[in-house]
Formats: sequence, C-alpha cells, structure tokens
Amino acid sequence: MSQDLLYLAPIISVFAGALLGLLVEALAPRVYRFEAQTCLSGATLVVALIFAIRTFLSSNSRKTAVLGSVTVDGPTLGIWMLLLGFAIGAVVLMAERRAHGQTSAFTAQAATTPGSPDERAFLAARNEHTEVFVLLMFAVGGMLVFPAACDFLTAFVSLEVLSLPLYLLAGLARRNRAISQEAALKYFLLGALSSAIFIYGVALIYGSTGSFDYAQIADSLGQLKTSDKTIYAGLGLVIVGLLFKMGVAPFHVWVPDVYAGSPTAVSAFMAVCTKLAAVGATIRILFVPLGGLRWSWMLPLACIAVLSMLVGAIFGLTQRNLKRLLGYSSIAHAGFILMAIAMATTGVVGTQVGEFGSVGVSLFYMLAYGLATLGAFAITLLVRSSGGTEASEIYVWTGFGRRNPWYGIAMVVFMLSLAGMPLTAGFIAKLYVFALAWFNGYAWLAIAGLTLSLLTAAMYLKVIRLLFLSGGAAPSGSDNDQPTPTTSQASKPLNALIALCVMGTVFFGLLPSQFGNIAAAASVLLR
Amino acid sequence: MVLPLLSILAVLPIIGAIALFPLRTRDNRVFGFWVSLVTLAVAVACVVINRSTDLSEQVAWIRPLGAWYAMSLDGLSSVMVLVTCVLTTCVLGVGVPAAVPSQPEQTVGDADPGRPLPSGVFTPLVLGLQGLALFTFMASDLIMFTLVFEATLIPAFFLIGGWGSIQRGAAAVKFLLFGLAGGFLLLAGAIALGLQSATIGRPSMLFSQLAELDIPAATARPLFIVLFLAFALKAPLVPLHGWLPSVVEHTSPQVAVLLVGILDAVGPYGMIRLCLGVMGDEAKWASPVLLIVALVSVIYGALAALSERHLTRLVALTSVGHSGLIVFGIFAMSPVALTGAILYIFAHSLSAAALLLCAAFVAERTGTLAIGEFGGLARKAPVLAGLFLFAGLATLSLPGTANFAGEFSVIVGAFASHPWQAAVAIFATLLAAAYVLVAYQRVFTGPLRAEHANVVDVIPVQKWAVGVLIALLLAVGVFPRPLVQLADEASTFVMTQIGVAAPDVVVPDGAAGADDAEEDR
Repeated sequence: MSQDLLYLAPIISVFAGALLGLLVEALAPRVYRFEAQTCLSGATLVVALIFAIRTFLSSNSRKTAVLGSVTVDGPTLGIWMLLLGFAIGAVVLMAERRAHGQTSAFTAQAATTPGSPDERAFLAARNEHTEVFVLLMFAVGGMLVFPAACDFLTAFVSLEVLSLPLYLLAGLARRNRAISQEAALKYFLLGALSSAIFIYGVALIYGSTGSFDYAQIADSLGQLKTSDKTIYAGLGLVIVGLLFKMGVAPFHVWVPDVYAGSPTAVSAFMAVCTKLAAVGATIRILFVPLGGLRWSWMLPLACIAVLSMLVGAIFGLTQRNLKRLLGYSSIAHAGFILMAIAMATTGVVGTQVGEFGSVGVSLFYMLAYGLATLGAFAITLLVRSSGGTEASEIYVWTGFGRRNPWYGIAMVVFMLSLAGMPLTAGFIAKLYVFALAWFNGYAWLAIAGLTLSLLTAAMYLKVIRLLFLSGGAAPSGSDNDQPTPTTSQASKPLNALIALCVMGTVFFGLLPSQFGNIAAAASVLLR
Repeated sequence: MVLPLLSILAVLPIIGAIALFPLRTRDNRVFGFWVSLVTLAVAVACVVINRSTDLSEQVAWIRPLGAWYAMSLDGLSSVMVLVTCVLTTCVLGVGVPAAVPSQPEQTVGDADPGRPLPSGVFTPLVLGLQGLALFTFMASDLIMFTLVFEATLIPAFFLIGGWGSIQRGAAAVKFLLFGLAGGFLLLAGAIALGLQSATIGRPSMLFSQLAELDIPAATARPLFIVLFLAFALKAPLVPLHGWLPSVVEHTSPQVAVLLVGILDAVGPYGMIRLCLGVMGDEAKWASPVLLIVALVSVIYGALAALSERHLTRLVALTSVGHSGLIVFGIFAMSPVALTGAILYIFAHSLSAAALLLCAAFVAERTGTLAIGEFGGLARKAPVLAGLFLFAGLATLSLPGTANFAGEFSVIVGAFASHPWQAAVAIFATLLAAAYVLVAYQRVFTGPLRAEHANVVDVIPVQKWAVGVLIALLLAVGVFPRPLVQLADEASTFVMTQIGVAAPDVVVPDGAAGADDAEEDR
C-alpha cells in the first residue's frame, strides 16, 4: 500500500496543493494572496516532479496498477515528467505581472459584465483573481490521471477534471474580455460535445466487451464475433473524443479561436499540457484496450495525420495573428505526433528501430514542440500595442528582433524548431517521426510529412522575416496610423523560462541521445 | 589522445562568430578577418597533416538510427575546405556590403524592406556559415551531413535577407524554401538508405558503410533519383535553377560569393559523395540521361548569360552552365573527367567569386548593376577593369588558368566514351568567351557616361581580395600538381569503388582515338 502511495505521490501532491490553494484563498489576506498562490503552486509542481523522477529512477518494476484504475508505467512517468515540467513553465507565465503593468493578466472580477461600471471599479482597485492558480492545479491533476488511467471511467472523469478548469480559465482574460468569453463558450460547447461523443464510444465498447477495464477489454476483443460491428463504432467515437482534445484536424475548429481569445498563459498551457495529456491518453487507449484492432485504426489515423498537417500548414500560412498562427501550428504538429502514434510500434525489443517506438518518438516530439511553443507564447506575452494591451497582430512584430535582439533570437530559435530546421530539437523530432513511419512500411506517409513540413516551414519563415528582415526604416506615411508597438519588461522568472526553452531546444537538437535513453526506458506500455 | 583537429577547424569560426556577436564595433570586422585567416591556416595545416596521419573522427551520436558524429578529410573534402576558407577570408576582407540598387520597376510591391541588418552581424553570420559549410564538407555520416547541409541555410537566409536590394526579404524566403526542399529530399533519401542499412542488422549511416550496401535495383534507382534531385536543386541544374539568378540579383554580391562559391558547391560535392560514391551502380545506369541533363544546363547557362542585362544575374547564369559542366564531368564515368570536375569546382568557385567581387566594387561606385547603364569605366578604374578582365578570362577557361585545367580534363576524360556529348560541351565553352567579353566591353570600354565621371579606382583591400583569387587561379593553372594530386586521389578512390579503372591512355589523340574507344565498348 505504501508503495502504491509512492506511485501516486505526484497526483496526490498536485491535488493536495490545489486544496491548500483553496484554503489560502479563504484565509490569506488579499495583499499576500498572489505571491502565496504562485509559490504554493510552483512548489507543489516541483515536489510532484521530484516524486515522478524518483519513481522513474528507482523502480525497475513499474507495473503496479494502483488501485486497479491507474497504471504507473514507463509512458505514464515519461508523460508526467514532461507535463509537470511544462506546467511549471505555465505557472511562470500565469504569474507574470511585470509585463502587464504590475497586474495579473486575468480579469479583475469574472462576475462583472465586460465594459460595465462595476468592471471599471474592480480594475481601478487593481483587483486580481488568484483562484486561477487553483484552477490550473486541478487541471494539472486531471492531466496527470488522464494518461495513466487504465479504465474508461477513470479516464472519463479525469478528462472532465482537466477540462472544466480550462473552460473557466479560457474566459478570464483581463483585457479583450468579450473575445475571451467567446473563446471560453466555444471551447465549452465543443468540449462538452466531444466529451459526450467520447462517453458514447465508451458505452458502445462496454456494450460489446462488457468491461470498462483496459486489460479486460483487450482480452475480450479476441473472443468477439466478427459480425459485431458495435466495437468499431465505439472505437471511432472514442478516437474522435481524444483527437478533439489533441486538436487534430478535422476536430480542430476550436483551436485557433480559443488560443487567440484566451489569456496567453492559458493558451500556452492548453497548447502544451492539454495536448501532452491527450497524446498520452490516446497512446494508452489505442495501444492497450484497442491494440487488437490496430489494423483497422492505423490507416485511418495516418490519413487524419496527413489531413491535420495539411490544414495546419495551409491555414497557418494565411493567419495575421500570431496566437492564431501558433494555434494552426499546433494543429500541424498534432498531425506529426499522430503520425508516430499511428505506426503503433510499442518499442518492444525486436522492432527495427530498436529502442524507438511510437511512445518514445511521441514523447520526444512533444518535448521539442513543447519547449518551442511555450517559449513562443512567452515572448508573445511581451509584445504590446501602444495602449499597453497585448497585441498579437502580426504587423506588431515587424522589426521586433531589431528592437529586442535577445528576444528576437529566442523567437527565431523557437520558429526554426517548429519549422524542423537543424540544430534545433524540432529537426531531430521530425527525423525520428519520419524514420519511424518509413521503417514501418509507411513510406508514403513519411513523404507526405516531408512535403508538408516544407509548407509549414513557410509559415514560420514569414514570422522570422518579420522579426528581423523588415522594419527599422523611418516611419513612412502609410505607417503613421498604426500605433507604435512596445515591448514590456519581463520579470526574471519569465526571462529564465525563455532562456531555458532556448537552451533545451538547442541542446536536444545537438545531443538527442540524452533524451533518447529516457524515452527508451519510458516506452514500454503495461496492460 | 589525438587533438580532434577537424572538429577544431570547423568549430573555430563558429566560436569566433559567437564571440564576435556581442561586439558591435568596427573591431568586429578586423577581428573576424583574423579569425578567418587563422581558420585558413588551420585548414591548410589539416590538409597537410592529413597526408601523413589520418585525422578522421568518429563518435556515436544517435544509436538507434546508426548516426555518427563522423568527420574525415579526403582529397575531395580537402579541396572544398580550402575553397571555403579562401572565399570566406576574401569576403571578410572586403567588408560589409552596401545596399544593392534595384531596378525602378521592381520597387513597387508589398514589401517594407526595412533597413539592412546592423553591420555588426555581418561578420558573425559569415563565420557561422563558414563553420557549418566546413562541417558539411567534412561530415562522413549521412544524417550528420543532412543536418549541417540544412543548417547552412540559416545563416545564409539572414545574409541574403540582411543586405541587398529592396526585394531581398522575398529572395531570402525563396532561397530558404528551395534549400529546404533539397534538404527534405536528402532527408528522405537518408531515411530510405537508413532503412536499407537497418534491414541487414544494426543501421549505420556512415558513407563508407552505406557504400557497401547491396540494394536491389528497384529500390536503389528511385533513391538515386531522389538524391540526385536534392543536389541538382543545390548545384543548380536546369530546370531546377530558377531560384539562383533571382536570389543572386537581390542579395549583395558579397553574399552571392558565398552562395555561388561555397553553398552551390555542396551540390556537386554531394553528387560525388553520395550519387557516385554510395550508389555507383545506379550512377552508371543513369549516366546517359544525366549527361544530357548536364549538357542542357551547359548550353542554357551560356545562352541565358549571353542575353543577360544584369551583372550579378549574369554570373549566376554562368554558374548554372559551369555546374552543368561539373556534373558532366562527374557522370562521364571516367577518372580523368572526375578529377577535372573536382578541379573545376575549385576553379569555378574562385573565378565566380572574383567576378562577383568585381561586380560588388562596380555597384558600390556607380550605384547600379544594369549592364546597359555602364560604359568606359576602364578609364576611371583601370585596375578594377583589369581584375574584372582577368576573372572573366579565367571564367572562359583561358589556358594557363585553373579553369582551363579543369575543363580540359573533363572534356578529355569524357571524350573517350562520349565523343558527341563532349563536342557539344566544347561548343558551349566557346559561348563563354562571347558573354564574358561582351560584358567586359559594355561595362569597361566605350564612352564614359557623365554620371560616372567621379568613379574612383579600387582601394588596396579590394585589389588584394580579388588579386589573391586570381593569383590562386593562375598558380593552379600553371602548377596544378598539388591540387590534382588531391583530386586524383578522390576520383581514383571513387572510381575503383564502382569498378571503373583508369584507362592506360589518358589522352586519346583526336577523333580516331575516340572512335577506337567507341568500338572498344
């Protein structure tokens, strides 16, 4: 039992931290609350991360299915470590006040109508919602359980636990509140729909196999009658629900709107952590209970991956808002990850790629994508229009790199990584994905991926060109009506976060084996 | 523990670049020049030392894929490394480029071109490019080669976009997308080769190991085409050449030197390394078609250059033609022709660089690059005219220059087996005489235009930069032995690998010899 608790320690500490946060909210005086909540959530995540790393390093038999509903195995721990690491980054983004003129980026009072006198009063009082950290912690808790769950009920509950706080967080922007609330509503409606689809799929799978438990479903798949088509309907619906959370086309329509409308910190959190949790859950659900049906889902998923890359690349090219562009970028990258998942090699010894299976490659891809995306959102947070509101319109970025060379270089590194250029982790991640697909007989998929990488590269090039190669000229007549953009000062933690993201991106671009060993150890799924 | 000299050689300019980056003063230029000189010295030392001791390095890098961090310096690499270091030094000696004039009708457009990048970043970018190019030419692992090959695009992108005409931003994007297309083709080829290597056991991406693979023709032939296309895009060959003239036109001539002289040379280099060295059987199979493709480039480049009205575009087009001749030499399947091709890569890089540098000086003085707007500059700038003429004569392969040695060997080597194709190639070289001399005549002779009355001659630095290149071309032309030795070593190695022995009679005397060779086959 104590062993079980140790396995569960990361989950327990995150939820405990969230509950403590509620107490802080109730008891601490308002002046200290923001700092208290920041420290509490940061510390909790660090503790959880330490627990996860300890379990990963210590236990050689990672097979205990704790309480029968959560599996703590290699992939779970790998995802937990990445997830907690990125969540710490998200906390840094959420805690940023210096860049926002010493107030948090979240609404002063969520209950007020946008533009009402009440709202102005709360703004004037410099009121802040510190509950956002508690919401974030609950979401992280759900994200930890989701990829570890080993029965469909736990999976569904954790899916809701991670989603509900996100719906709220999306609507809490301090400025542009109407857009933010619109984003929240869209996210909520489509999210609820996808949850319904997911649970319906679960019901159909239960109907044909008589179980919610992943292992039992896997066992009973063999005894299914061939005439039983219900299981395929269930499979399809469950996959749709998962792909929605991953933000894969054609279930992607919410992504750009929600990323653009939400507070930047929340967008970053959704783009990295939610996607990571969804990738983890997708891997487990597809490989463990539904692995027996892989011949029927591999090809469709490969096609969806291509579609997603295509949609992300083409629509991304036409965007004029950086947060929307990052949204489409995340759709395209979801396609690349799905490509690795669709190959369904579990990395068991004996596969051609040796240590590398779908899990290891997906993890590396998420690492590369996460570092670059988190960093890119962090820099987005700093760019202001003249009024001091956050401005992600793309023209604002003209000549940004000339005015702020260090941030400009960092942004270039992130864009190059997302574009899959060498010397960054993005190149190695793409190399792994394509090699995995090609080695598994999906050469056409790898070629499609290579071709579409070129298209996606064009989208990031557009940004790089704006950053450094445009602007710097004396304002001509046509430019005068546009307000001069400014860059706000970032606090030390935010700068450190950006620096870490740059260093990580370059490090894993040069020495990918360092992560490869971890990914190899983390790649064997247990039933 | 032996010093990893090759890594030091390649990393040296990169470290220099990083160290220079924070300095924004003028010292930066001088210091950068010294870094490039030191690199040149180290490169020469490496080439010399490597004759007696093998400097190759090999460390496991990505085990599951069989990728190594592996560097070696054979004859071919040595030539490329020397070219890279010499050209970088010359470009850094000349200094930060001025704005390139654009033709009036081109100024309309969407672009807010902005100012050029701050001049303090020019030197670090050039040094970064040099370091990555050195890695490219010394990498002996396919994945590593692909990585650094694509990585060179990054500094080049900023160099092209940073200095040049008003459309340089668009040119930079165009360059990067074409370069990435080539890079992704190469990546596809690398993965497919890796799969072949993985099916026989533990994969290994070392060139030497890939060469030993026995790949079934049905797989190998498409693979060969993919690899060839990747390098043909880079070289570039007709019909994949469209990007080069417009990129060269819109960037500054100094950057064009690096593009044409160093980065484009990766194309032929890769063809020798991979298409010939790794996939020799398929090269033999494809050779007849490739020779035609190469000849089309030779003719097209010459004809297009003949009618060109823009000075740097003209050099870019001649470079397309010369790439054609190099590829012709590579796939003529003769050791002599291959040696000639390697020599010609060297000569072409240097002579094109000399011409482009002269173009840079002309543009700096007159504010234009349109050939029609010049005339009589020789009166005001006689030394510049002389330098241009020398560079031009080298370009048209005047006997006594390195270009002649290269071109002659290519054609002689190819004549034995492909007399008709060789004859066509000779014809194209005649056209070279026309376009070079016509350009010289229009720019430097005739009546001097009033607006150019204040043109002054080249300053010593500029004289030295071009002078060194011309001196090298002449030296190699007169005394080709050391370079031929390096090239010969490489070509003999590649040719014995694919089973083409050196013929006893190197120079067939005239048509009779060619006929004999024809009958022999």
